[in-house]
Amino acid sequence: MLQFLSLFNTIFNDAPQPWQLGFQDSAAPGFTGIVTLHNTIGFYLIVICFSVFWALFSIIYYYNTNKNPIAHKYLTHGTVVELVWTITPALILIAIAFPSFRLLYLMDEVISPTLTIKAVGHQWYWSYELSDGCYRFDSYMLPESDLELGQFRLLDVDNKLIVPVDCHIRLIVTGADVIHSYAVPSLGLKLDAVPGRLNQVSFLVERTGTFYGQCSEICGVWHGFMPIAIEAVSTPQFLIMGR
Amino acid sequence: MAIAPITGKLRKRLWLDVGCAFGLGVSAAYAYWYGYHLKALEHQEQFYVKLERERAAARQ
Ligand SMILES: [Cu+2]
Repeated sequence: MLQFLSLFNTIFNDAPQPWQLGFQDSAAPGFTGIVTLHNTIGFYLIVICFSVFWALFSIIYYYNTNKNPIAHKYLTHGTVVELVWTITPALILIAIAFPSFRLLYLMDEVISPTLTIKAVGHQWYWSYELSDGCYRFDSYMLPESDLELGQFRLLDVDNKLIVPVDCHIRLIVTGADVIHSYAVPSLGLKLDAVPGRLNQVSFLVERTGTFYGQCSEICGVWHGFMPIAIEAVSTPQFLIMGR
Repeated sequence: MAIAPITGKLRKRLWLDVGCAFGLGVSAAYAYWYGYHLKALEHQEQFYVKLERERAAARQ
């Protein structure tokens, strides 16, 4: 119970946990970048909150009717103060835009992938194709009655996608019927699965483990029941399993 | 009843207000950056170092 209350405990599971606040642990450089950008913007947010609340309480305290019985009905604008409160936010937005675009273009880069995986969203399951479609399988959510101890309700699937760690992996995502979205928070993945269109990202898993995600574009009645589970294994183990 | 004109507010209050707001804001933001963000990154880095050490030990 206590760990649910702790905001500063940064080791969480690779799946969402009850009452979790904040992000899951990062397992990919892309997601570490996203968390860093989030906290960079958080830095500006704290400065802005302090300034706004200080100004608010200062004005309430010093300019209330008891202290200022005169209503300044002809005081409608002040050029200097308007310039200040227009230009300052613009500068802050520019300061946020630079790291944001940097991350955006870095994450768009696909660096000589060792493996390409195609994920296809269906109503309501995911299917995967490896090695140019030579190997194909479906991945359905495990029904509650089939769950074993330690498996996650609404998150575990019958066939997990297995990937090697420390390899650049290209993921190609498309939809078979309607728009779905392939999302795995701890790997920093969120990619729309649009029928008739191939979207691509590159990611690298930094540690072994199982990472969970869910369809993130409302796609019909069982939208909430088509989870994603990716198991990252060491490269030798991946090669053995691939045989 | 005569009311004294309101003058000198900028001189009296503004610099104090701006100084306090930004002083508090920036120090709180740096406290968050060093006390939370960089600490969390360091925590994660330590975990990867530990993993690497275990991997090296297993190889021997
Ligand atoms: Cu879907």
